[in-house]
Amino acid sequence: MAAAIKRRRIAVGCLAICLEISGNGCNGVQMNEHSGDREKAAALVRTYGRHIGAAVIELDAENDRSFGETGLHYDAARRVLTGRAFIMKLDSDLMKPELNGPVIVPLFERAAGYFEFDAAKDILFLKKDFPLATITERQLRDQMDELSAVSVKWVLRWYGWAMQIVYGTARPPGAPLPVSRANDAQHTEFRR
Amino acid sequence: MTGKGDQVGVEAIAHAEQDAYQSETACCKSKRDNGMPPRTIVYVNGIKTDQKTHCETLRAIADQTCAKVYGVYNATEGPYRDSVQTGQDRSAIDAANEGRMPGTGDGRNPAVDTLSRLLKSKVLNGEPVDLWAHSQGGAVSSLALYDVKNSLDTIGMTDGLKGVHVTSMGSAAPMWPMWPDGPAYEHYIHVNDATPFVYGIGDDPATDGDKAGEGASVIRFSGDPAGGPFATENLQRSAIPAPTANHDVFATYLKMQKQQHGGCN
Repeated sequence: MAAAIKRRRIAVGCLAICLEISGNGCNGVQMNEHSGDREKAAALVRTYGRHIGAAVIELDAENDRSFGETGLHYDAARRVLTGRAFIMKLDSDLMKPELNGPVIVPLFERAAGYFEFDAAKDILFLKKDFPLATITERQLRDQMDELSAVSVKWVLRWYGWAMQIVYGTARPPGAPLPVSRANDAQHTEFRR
Repeated sequence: MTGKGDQVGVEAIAHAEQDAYQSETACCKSKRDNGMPPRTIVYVNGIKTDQKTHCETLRAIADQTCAKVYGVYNATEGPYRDSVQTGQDRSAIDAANEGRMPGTGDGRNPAVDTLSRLLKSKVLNGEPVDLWAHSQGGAVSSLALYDVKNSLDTIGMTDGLKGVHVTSMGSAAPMWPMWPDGPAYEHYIHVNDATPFVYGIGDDPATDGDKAGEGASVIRFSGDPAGGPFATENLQRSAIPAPTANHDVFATYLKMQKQQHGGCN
């Protein structure tokens, strides 16, 4: 009986160890390779936070940090830091998949990002994934700035136009729109 | 209605509307008794406005227009932080215009979210909206209108803002494109008020078509707020617009609105 209990304890112990390892990747070599990811992600978040003058610049327990109109999320499984820029609040998942589709994508700049509706927050974001293996602090800062600037363009100029193209009530722009002041004339084209 | 960081739900907004201030002056009672159509105004204040002043403004608008008036309170945190926030509200649109990056640090003004929720609720219910804004309240309002417009565009309601009427007073709403097309606009600008001159629609009527919203009425005027009626022609422009002297909501802008449309009190 005592031996059976001992064997059971050993089995449970092994299971616990295995589960612990599984939670970290269950692969000793991989775990070592990735063990610095969170630290790097945290350092990147701090750098970007300082860059935009945020008061709180640490990743939280959910591996996330919101800076208001922008934010960063560390995705351990995919080994990426995902940047996000606020587009708007939506009451439910009304996002049109066409926003990421072949008609709209070539026409309007997205800073190499993609649109994604966050159902937990009821917010439509423009997001971009930064591979932790290669992204530098400078690249993150520059590309987040670009993502943020492009998101503003969407909020103020392009979103309504894109939706009307999706609904077939407006003509697409004559040429793809870059992010520059030159867009003013193209916006006027839409209004007319 | 909002403190910085607070979220306000549709129920709270409906409650505020029920409790809206309604003038009981003899003039307004007489107008209502004589069939004045019901009217409800929502007002967004500017920077450096404490709650007491905000409430006094609501009463002043109600006494002047005889409408029911309630407010989205854009809370003050003191001149410095308010100014920073004005910059942040403006920065989003400035960034689009200049290709610059917005210096966002703490996100959008909660008043933008509150107003956006309010406007969206009204529009989707088919109710008219009469929105008044002063100073930074204009920046709050323009961003909220963009949010609502985008939401409505998502569901194919491209004309959703047609029932919105906006009265901006010395607005700090930012550079082009300042106000989204759709609402009916009436913008009041004292030509010697630095806020709209520097941060707002500005003093060049030639650019109104791009900045003020399609079909907007821009009312430029000059004169001493403490003096007689303001001038709307042969405007007297000073070399340097005054930072605050012509910016007061009571002495300058409500006075001019009454000069244009009449009213009680």
